[in-house]
Amino acid sequence: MKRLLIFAVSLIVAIAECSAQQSIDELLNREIDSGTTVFKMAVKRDPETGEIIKRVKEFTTTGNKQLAKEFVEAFESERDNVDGWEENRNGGVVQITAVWVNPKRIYTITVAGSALSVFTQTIYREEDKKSK
Amino acid sequence: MRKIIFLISLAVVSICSVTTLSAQGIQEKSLTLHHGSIKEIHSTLPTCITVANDGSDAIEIVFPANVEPYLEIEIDKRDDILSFDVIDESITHRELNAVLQKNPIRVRMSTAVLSDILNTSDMSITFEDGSVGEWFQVINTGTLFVNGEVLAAKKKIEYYNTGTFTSKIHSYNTTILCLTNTGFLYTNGYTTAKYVEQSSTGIENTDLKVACEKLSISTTGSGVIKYEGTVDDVEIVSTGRAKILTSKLN
Repeated sequence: MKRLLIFAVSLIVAIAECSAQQSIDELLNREIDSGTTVFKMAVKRDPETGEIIKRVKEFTTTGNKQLAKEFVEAFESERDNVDGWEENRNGGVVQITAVWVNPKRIYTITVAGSALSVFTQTIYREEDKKSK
Repeated sequence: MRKIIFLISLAVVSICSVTTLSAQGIQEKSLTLHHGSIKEIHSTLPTCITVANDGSDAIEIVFPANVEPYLEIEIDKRDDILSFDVIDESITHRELNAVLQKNPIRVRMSTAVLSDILNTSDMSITFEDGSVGEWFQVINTGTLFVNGEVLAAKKKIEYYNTGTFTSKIHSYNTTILCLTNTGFLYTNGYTTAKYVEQSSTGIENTDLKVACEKLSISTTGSGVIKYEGTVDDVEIVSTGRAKILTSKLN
């Protein structure tokens, strides 16, 4: 019974981790595929295996307050799932940084009026010293 | 010092030309020129070109016999250019194009050093082997259809299109692939290029599989741009109505 309970808890934690930041990713992917976009993505690979070690995405757009609002809401909906949260609101400028530990993810949103910038960084595993 | 350009004009080579009847009952003239290393093809007239790489220096050209007086088919042996143009001012490009639309000039040639294609009319090119020069550039302001299994240029393949350009190549084997479009450009297939650069203000229909270091897309136009595969560095600037699909990358 105890084992079953541990398994169930582990499963719930795993599912929660998998779905963390999902709404932000979905919104990001929707916008990247939709059209008016300034988008950058870079990955760092293990030189030997080609496996992705780190992925960075940057998405910026202007003139769409509704979209900025949707992104802020998506961030806020993840607030209970994050391991770290920093929020600054100053006049019309909103900046939120959300951090997940496993795997390491740092997501930042900056909204200034209708200007929106979303920056995501995912580190799948720490780099070996020799591959740095 | 005056530059010497060796031109072989149709008037000279027509001596060794042959007149036959085509399947459509049209009298056709065929001629064979000899030059084994054509680097550029320029055409202002409808042409169907087959590029092989069988070591032959023969360039076989077939065209409707009734347009012969108006045609200028030249080989510039200094710059290795094969060109097709109107020679007689008594006929306009439009009139000659209208005649050649149904029965275009057909060309079969062998070269592995083709580096430039300039088309301002209707052209179709079939690459049997696909080996071209290290730098391969296509400039199209007309309607162009390119097909083949492989297009292999060691350093760079560049498309500049302001017309309608369909490129159905299974594999673009090169280091840099550069697509610049202000017209309609259709490109599909796979590329080995390490650097892929796409710039468009026109209509784009791209479906490319990549395994590259850098992919750069800049568009103010429309259409669908789809990339899949692996890329280390992606940069997209889209301010038009184009749908850019990159979710299958990495």
